[in-house]
Amino acid sequence: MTAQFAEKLRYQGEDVAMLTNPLDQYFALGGARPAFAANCTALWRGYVGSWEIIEDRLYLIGLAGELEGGETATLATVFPDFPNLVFAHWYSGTIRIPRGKLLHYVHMGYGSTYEGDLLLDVERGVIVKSQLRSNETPDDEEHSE
Amino acid sequence: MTYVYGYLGIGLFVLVAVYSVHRLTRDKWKNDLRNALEATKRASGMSSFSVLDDVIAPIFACLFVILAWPIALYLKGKDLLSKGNDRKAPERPEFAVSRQHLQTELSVAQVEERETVIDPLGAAPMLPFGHLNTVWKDFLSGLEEGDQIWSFTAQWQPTWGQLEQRSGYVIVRNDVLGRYLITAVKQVSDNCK
Repeated sequence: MTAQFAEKLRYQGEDVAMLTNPLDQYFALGGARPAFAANCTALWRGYVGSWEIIEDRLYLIGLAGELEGGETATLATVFPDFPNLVFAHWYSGTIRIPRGKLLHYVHMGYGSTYEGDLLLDVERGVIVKSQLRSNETPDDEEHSE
Repeated sequence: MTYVYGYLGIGLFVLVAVYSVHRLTRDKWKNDLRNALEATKRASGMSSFSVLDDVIAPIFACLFVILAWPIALYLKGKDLLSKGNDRKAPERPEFAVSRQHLQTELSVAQVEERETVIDPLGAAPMLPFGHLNTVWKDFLSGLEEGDQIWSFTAQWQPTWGQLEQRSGYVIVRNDVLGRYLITAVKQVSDNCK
């Protein structure tokens, strides 16, 4: 499996990559999933979501993708009544935002390791905790022993 | 010399038989894989024809079967037997709510009150379960008189991935746990814990 394109996140005024797919949880919990076209091995999910954290709440502010019929998929495709802003109340979990240089590339999913990760713990769409994790490559761990 | 011709004749017969059996029993997914590989070759501008794969390898395979047909027969028989065993796919356990997962009995009104989504920016329907309200309505459509609704929390290890904590509601009918609705899934080993 090829490394996958990240989601986009606007966090504290900065545009960053987000290595978590909160919309997948929406579909897993029963939300209607459009027939996204998986035209690219680096984007098996078929879409890229744009997110923003406003007042400690996670919002979906955009979506770019293509449907199997060739039509363009937007936020309105998934949420017709909320085409501009969607509160991700369904999502509980940890959002991973990579920080620093790429230390170790993994050609699969979001498996690559960066110097650090900003981890945001989310409960029902609300950020309840954040922490910065410093990462070490296996080589670093061996040297530090 | 007659014995040699006889041996090679049998080898030729075995070749035809093994090839026919191979054509009839080869796996569909292997065909799909072969097609996918061909498509990849075409997409990258490579010729789908290869002298090694399409000429030399088949010639050597045929010669091998004709000359060493007892070994070829043994290998094909072994292959067919192992395929028979492989077809019995292991059963994967399915998630189910059990009695020890139950938390609290709630009325429909109580569930709807605690699950109504209120967003200050109005980016979710102010309804039970917000954007997932239709899933809740579908769950309610299976409710009969006398049914109870219980909240539940359960840990579940999926076939792939980390241990999960699943929460939601389940219908209890005549003391038997029935249809359930999962409302939250969280990986237990999340780093923020």
